Amino acid sequence: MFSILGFCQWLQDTSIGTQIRESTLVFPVLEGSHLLGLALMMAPVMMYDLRLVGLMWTSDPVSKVKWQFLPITFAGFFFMVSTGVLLFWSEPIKCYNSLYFRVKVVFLIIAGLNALVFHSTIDRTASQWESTIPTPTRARIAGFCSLITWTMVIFAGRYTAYNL
Amino acid sequence: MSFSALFPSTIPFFRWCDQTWLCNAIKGTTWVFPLTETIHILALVVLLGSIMLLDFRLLGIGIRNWTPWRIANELRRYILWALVVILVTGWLLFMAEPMKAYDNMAFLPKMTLLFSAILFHYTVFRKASSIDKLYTPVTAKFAALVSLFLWFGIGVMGRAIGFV
Repeated sequence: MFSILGFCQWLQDTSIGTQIRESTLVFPVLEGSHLLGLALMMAPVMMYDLRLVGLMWTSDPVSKVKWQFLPITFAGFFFMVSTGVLLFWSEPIKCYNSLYFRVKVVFLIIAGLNALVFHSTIDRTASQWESTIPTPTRARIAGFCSLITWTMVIFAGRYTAYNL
Repeated sequence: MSFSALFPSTIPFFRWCDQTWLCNAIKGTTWVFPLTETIHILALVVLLGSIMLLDFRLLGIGIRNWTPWRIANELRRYILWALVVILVTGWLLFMAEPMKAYDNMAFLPKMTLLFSAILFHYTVFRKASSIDKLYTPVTAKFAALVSLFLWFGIGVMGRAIGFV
């Protein structure tokens, strides 16, 4: 029968996972790159969130701000996910047992749901409100929620490494 | 490349830091260090991420509808506050283990790069990024590359502190 723990055990024992774990250089380089990808993705995400909240780039419409930052966000996201997958691959059992890693996964899901809800509801009518200040309450809530959940993801991610 | 190898005469300063009230207070707890380090990382994401956005813009990658001046102007306060937070938390992290910093091979290079980066950012780079045209000259592109090199270097050395 399929179990998450069984999957983690299998993943941990694969040769790729073992090689990353046992290498002195690969793991720190991956961690550093993960952080770099994080900065690359989070800076433009925060810019867009702050526009939704109404704190930055307010002289431009929301859609313009979005298209200015979206390509870099995707590049950073790709970079972060690929390094993140490899990091998880190297120590899945540790992640499985870590409370902070579980918290991180929960906040990643919340961040994803928040984006999904925003883009499938209020964002659809963005052309009607994107130049008005203040932005609609629901757009502000979505921006604020994104800022908080991503901060929590970073927080829980860093704490995963402490083995607390 | 450590203080102990290159500037052994600085040891009284590190010893003094090691005996301060603040150092002992941080050492006496288990939660202050990880929390401070996590806030340091959050500030890094904001600082490095925003500076990268500006560097990439000067190099002609992303955000091409706005002039460097417009972006630099909007990001200025954001970068300054992230810098303040990262310096304060960084100083606390140093005060938690001054003797380790004295012997660490990555700490001295990191501090050298940090002061060079701050100096460069508020002089040459500030001027280079104040172009109010969509096209950026070669000199500004060069300044962007130097900026990337300096800030990445700090990140790499910061990561290395934990491993060397």
